[in-house]
Amino acid sequence: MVRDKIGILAIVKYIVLVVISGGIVIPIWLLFVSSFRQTTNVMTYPPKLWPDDGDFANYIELFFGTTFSFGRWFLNSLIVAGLSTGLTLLVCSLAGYAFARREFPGKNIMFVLIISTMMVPSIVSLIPSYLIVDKLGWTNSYLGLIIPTVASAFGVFLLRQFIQVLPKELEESAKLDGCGDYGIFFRIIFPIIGPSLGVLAIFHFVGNWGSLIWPLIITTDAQMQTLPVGIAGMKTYGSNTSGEIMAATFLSFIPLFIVFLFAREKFIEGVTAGAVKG
Amino acid sequence: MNARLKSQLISYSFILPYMLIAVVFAFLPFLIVIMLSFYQGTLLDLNNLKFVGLDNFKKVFMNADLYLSAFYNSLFYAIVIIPVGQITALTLALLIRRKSRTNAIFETVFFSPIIISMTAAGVILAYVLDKMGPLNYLLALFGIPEINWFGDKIMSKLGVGILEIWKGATFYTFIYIAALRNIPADYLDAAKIDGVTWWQEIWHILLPLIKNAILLGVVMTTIFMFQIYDSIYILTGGGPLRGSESIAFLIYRVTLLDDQIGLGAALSILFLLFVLLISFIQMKLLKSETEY
Repeated sequence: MVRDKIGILAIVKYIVLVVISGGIVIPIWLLFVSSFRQTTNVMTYPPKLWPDDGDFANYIELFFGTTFSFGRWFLNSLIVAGLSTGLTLLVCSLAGYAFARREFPGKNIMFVLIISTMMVPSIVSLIPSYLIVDKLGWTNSYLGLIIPTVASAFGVFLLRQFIQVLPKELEESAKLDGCGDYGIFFRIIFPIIGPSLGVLAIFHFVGNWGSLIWPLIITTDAQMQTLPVGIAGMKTYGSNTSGEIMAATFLSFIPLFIVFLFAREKFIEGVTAGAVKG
Repeated sequence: MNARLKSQLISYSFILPYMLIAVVFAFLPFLIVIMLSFYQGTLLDLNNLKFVGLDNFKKVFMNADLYLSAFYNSLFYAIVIIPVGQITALTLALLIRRKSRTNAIFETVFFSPIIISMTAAGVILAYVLDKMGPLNYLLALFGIPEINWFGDKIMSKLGVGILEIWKGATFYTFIYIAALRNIPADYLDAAKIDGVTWWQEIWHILLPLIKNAILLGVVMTTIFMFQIYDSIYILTGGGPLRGSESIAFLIYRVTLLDDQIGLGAALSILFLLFVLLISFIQMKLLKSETEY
């Protein structure tokens, strides 16, 4: 009797898991199938489950056609998310280290100020930030796309937490060996916090890769747009769902997804880091 | 220069790069938005801003019905998305809390919407929810008449809700899985020896032990849900007839599309106060809940 009950429970459990997984996987699969089809055939009844009548026309149009600067968008996204992540790691670990280990007047108040910026909804500072970037002449430029995204309060908070729990002996022995203040940071601290930097890197890269509104308002030149902006813009080129949008959308997340498959644990840690540590 | 002063200067040099960027792109925008809320003008003609005192705020309150609909929409989003999303997230976490090969596959699947950008998720769901799309086809198989997700104010809000849940809910699943896997094994072993049923285990042991994570998840999602606008931008553009506009989207529209920069700033300030109030109330609740 008990065994029957467990059997039914297990079945119910797997039904729930499979149905919800289907709700995630099937739309992605349908997107993949549609990406090989002509725009006029995308909306067929019943929906096509296998791309047997499709071809690579949409993909070829994206890369070699003149309508979309898809290759450029992809490159821009890579440059912007990559450099933004690299700079964030450097800038936030420097600040995180100072807040974790060094003494200076105004330390607490500055830390509180930094943390409180996390409470401000991004829409509130969106327009003023745009005005500043415009004044600096950074619209339609990598500077404008990258620099404002670097000051991650969350990054400072996270790295400060990680650095605080490191044993102090490391720095003390380095100091005895004649290591200077910057030497301690770059030769001792920075390498040790590598795993935490990896976590922050994933968190920041994933967020930045998908960022829409900021690059949308500061770029008017198609050559400077990122993938989300480009794809969002494709919706106005024609119907709501063209074969090209499907192909572009599929290409926009598949590289990240493949990287994820190789570093699953790290990704999961990266995305949940804030919640678990905080 | 004495050693202490030198050490302090070096400390400042460590925070300098961050502070420079934060001052220009976090603190300064905040001051600008406060300043702008007292002015009237357009984005194209910033040199001719006119000081109007509290007129923008007066305007908001005098024409409250113009803005309340966005407020109600935001409430609708919060009331629909938060419970559905959280219950889904928690259920999935409980179902795959043990590490195993099968569960690793489900983890991979549930993680995919987190990697997919909101723009991409929006394109995917715009296709799925289309009048001629696969969902209506599926519903028709069960004899359910086709739904026009983008045709009226309620359905378009539900559409945005579906997008937010599809893209966002499993994020919390991973927070809850992490919390569940942090529970010391002896707690669970003791329960097993006592012979508790699966339901008792969940209700009396697991959920109370991850209460803090759940509260945190609810606080996070509440703060996020009042700020949604990417999903609206990509899926409905705020329509039809502004029926799916959230407060954040309203601010975007008033400032950039209607080009009323002062009014947008005033709305921003009111919105900020509202978000702070919600956060404050939740923090209070969180504190009183955890002190025992």
